[in-house]
Amino acid sequence: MESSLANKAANLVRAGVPFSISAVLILAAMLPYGLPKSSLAAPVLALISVYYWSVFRPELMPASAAFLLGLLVDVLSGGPPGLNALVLILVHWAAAGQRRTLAGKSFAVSWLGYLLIAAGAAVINWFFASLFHTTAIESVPLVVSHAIGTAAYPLVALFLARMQPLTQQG
Amino acid sequence: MAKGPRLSSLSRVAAPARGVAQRFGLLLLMTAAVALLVLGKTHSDAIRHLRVMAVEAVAPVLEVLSAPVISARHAIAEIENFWNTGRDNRSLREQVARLSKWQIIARNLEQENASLRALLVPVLDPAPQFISARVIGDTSGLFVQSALLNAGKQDGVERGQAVTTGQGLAGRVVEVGQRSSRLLLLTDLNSRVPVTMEHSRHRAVLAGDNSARPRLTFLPANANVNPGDRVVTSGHAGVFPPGLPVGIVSSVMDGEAHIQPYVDWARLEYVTILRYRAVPVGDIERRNEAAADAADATALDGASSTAGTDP
Repeated sequence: MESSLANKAANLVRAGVPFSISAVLILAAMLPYGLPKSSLAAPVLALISVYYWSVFRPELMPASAAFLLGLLVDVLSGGPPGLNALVLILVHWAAAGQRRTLAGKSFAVSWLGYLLIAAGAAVINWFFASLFHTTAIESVPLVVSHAIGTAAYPLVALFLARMQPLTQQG
Repeated sequence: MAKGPRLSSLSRVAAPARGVAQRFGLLLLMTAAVALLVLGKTHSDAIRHLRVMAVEAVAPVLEVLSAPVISARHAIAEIENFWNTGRDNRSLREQVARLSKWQIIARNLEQENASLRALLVPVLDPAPQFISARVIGDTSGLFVQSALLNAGKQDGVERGQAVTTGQGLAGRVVEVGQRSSRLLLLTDLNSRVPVTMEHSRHRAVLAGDNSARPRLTFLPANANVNPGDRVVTSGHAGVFPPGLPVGIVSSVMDGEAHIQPYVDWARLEYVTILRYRAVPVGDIERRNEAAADAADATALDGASSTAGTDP
């Protein structure tokens, strides 16, 4: 009886790992390092994390978690409210929907998947941000941050893969 | 990938129901996100209020996490200082020699200024009071250039107050919670600062464009602006005290001048928030009270319409 209760508690903690790691990555990116543009890593890390967990542990990264993580980025950055929430829901939807293609195969496939889905995310981001500001937002920073995100994906994915055992029953 | 037995048995039972719920949930969440975007546009005040409350909840976490980051930055700066001691010493000696001459000139000017002021009885701006705050979050994104500070309403911070560093103007306060506030940087797309060219006294508005170098707008057509000209706040609109250093004209191309702000964004650690209120023109008695107690001065909006106290 007691052990099953402890089991349930442990399961709950395990289930919270993907969300918690994503949230910590977002917060960590926004600390005042005094490095130029370091905070731009926050939405990129959120995107990579939501993509990764949606592909490899979709049951632990539901759409609601993606929504909340996007909201966290929006709230902290002071940008258009709901923008990152919308983008991350769509990333989750696309990644979880294609997980059979993305998860089983080689790492290169999941990387390519990230490249494509994040590109779509950048376009949606640009479109809604432009709509929100009622002016065509400069697209170069989005393209640059997408490129950096894609380049950084293997490193972040490696870190998240190291964390993945935390989500499995021991 | 390898689901536990518990999870799989659960999902087998609840799979159809969950499928429907998930699809609806996705739609619901997407609608919620779009609704937030629309509300952010139509009810920006209410959304800002909600955002302030949310930031308030996260701020303590950021404050704790940012402390070691700041310490590490100090440690690195200390090591740099140690290595540069010899060179710094030399350049500081040179500076002292140069500035001593300036000090004599400044003293003379100060006296002359005081005696001329006594003749004229001009309306003086109240001396601003200061609130010191630490930057706890660098929250600049692709569309908004901002930082979070660990001072809020309870410390006397109010919306619209100017934020400076030792070097110059950094921006203004746009959101205030009880214990935290958001600083909108000069470089943000929505930042507009009334400025004056220090020498020619031409007025302009410094408009952020999300680049590192905001541009001067509303500059008179006949204004002669050259790279290297210093730009200070004009004090118009009554939000910022006049004369705060802002930056240097870095380039003039096709009549468009860009400013290199004095603030070194990489060193934004501690900032000074100015509790400043412009005083309506001609209201000399009130100005003394206001100078004595800026906190009790009239509301910002009330003062701003009559501000602009150039003698």
